Amino acid sequence: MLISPNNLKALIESLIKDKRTVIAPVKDGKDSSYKPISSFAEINLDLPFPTKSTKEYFFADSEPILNYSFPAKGKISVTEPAEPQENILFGMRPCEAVSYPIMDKVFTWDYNDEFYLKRRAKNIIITVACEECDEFCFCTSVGINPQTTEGSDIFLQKTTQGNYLVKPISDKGKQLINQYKSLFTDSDETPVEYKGPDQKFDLAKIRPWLAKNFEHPIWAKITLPCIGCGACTYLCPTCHCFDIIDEGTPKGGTRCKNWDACQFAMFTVHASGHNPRDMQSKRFRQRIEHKFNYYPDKFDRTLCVGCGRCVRHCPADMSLLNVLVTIDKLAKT
Amino acid sequence: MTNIYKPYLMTVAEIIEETYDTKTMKLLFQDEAVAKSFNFKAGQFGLYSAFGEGESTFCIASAPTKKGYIECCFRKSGRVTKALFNSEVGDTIGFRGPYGNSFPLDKFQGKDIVFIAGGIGLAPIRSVIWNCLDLRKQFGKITIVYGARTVADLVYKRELPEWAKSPDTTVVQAVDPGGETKDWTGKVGLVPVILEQTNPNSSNGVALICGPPIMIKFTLPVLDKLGFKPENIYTTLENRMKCGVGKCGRCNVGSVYVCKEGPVFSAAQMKELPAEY
Repeated sequence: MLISPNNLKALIESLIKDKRTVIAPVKDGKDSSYKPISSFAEINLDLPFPTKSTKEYFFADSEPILNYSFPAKGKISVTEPAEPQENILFGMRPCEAVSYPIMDKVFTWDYNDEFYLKRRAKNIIITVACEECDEFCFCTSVGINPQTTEGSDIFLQKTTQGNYLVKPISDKGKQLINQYKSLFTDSDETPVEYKGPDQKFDLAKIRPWLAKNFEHPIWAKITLPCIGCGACTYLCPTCHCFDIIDEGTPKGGTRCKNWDACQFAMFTVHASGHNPRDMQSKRFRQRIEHKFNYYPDKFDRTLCVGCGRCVRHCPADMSLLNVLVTIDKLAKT
Repeated sequence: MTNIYKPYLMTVAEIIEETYDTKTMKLLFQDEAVAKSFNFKAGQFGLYSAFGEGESTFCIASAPTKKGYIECCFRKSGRVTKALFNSEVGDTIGFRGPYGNSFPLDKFQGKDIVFIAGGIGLAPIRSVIWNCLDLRKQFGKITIVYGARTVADLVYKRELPEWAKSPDTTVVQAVDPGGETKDWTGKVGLVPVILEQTNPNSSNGVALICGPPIMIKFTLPVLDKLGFKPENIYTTLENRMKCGVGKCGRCNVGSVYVCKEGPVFSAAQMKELPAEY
């Protein structure tokens, strides 16, 4: 199945006309951000990659989980928050789309987190295969490549003739294509197969090393530059830690799930003052161990898609990629 | 789908001042259907909320054998516990739970049990103590070693003599050196030392321990010396938690989520975990 650039424009414009919310990467000064768009012209699929991922549209940075009020002294009234809206996320990179099936694991084991799942059920992901990358990208080192369709609802890939090859992946994706059937043609062209970044480390070596080297002098050394700002966790499409807090007035308010980060000292501190992760090196180790050892152990998936955001935007040049390359070297010796 | 973060509304039915900064609260479910169907096991915990301030994690301090209500015991230390501390009888608070695993009481059948607790660490142990005392015939000799920093820091003071009256049950109370008062009739010394003096039977015994990390650290070698095997020593890890249901990502020790696979672990299981608790 194919769609021409003109018809792709028509598809996006039709979705907007039909009052559906379309989120896409747009230029934002020197950077790029995912934002709701009102015309196709706003979309920018070129580098740089959007600074933040689309995570907030699935796992909101501040998600109301209930509203409470105080109708009388000592009495509480609790109501459920509003249902989430549909978002059509256009122009997502393949790596980012994979992060959702990965996060599905933690939000559905035993207890289902309806706030994540309702957004997940409503949102539609239209991925565009990469044709370029920057020096921070490392998807191919974590088993993903520019043609990976996992997590996408519709997958678009440029063809040598300049059209887009359309792969309907999920039922949601097929439904959307059916709704705008006239814009698609039933023929095929040769897709541009971009091979992506070179492989930078051997993932198979990382986990066994991490499992054996919880206590290793490298942790203190390698994490020295880290200032514990947590930016890596907020920009990461797979980091999913949160806090639960009440925000309101004496009359009532909202209980929210807010993004939190394992890089903060307060994250694990006990009421007694005891803190199991009392040093930044322990907190950084937790992030690496969680992504490349604990999560694979528990859910059989690596909690990283190689998008490079944490490396690209670290204010301390504290590169997760360098850490992994170093571990890879240590594992070989 | 159900909102897993939505708490039950509870009425504060009774408040007991345990110490200057610690209270016990008896809580009744406002929804009668929940009150009837609610069940839990000794060792499980919940998230207690003061609306407007947030949620805090404590064990369920009452025993599963006492039906129709739950109790919690907490120290005033942060925003939520301060608000809970200031609430009055008749007020409404929130409760989510029960969460986590429990002490394997089925494995304790016919065995001697030694309970070791420090400070407010008696709260989760108390749930098991009452559970065992209410089913007294199912277990062997019961020894309770309880210590606190000072006499003023002891919790459940009114219940300790009551436990001692149960058949074949010994209660040893202690305070840290310097924490005693003139009329103190208990022991003076640190919990590991008092435990060693008490010398409980280990050949057919299990040990349950809860208290500050430093107390647990120095008590484990004593239990080893007394002959308790790591698989017969149980503790409850009280890591900081927010969700209680294996999502929020802060209570893990290695790949174990304390809120789901814990909070109860044997010393043998603890040995397999990275030392980060």
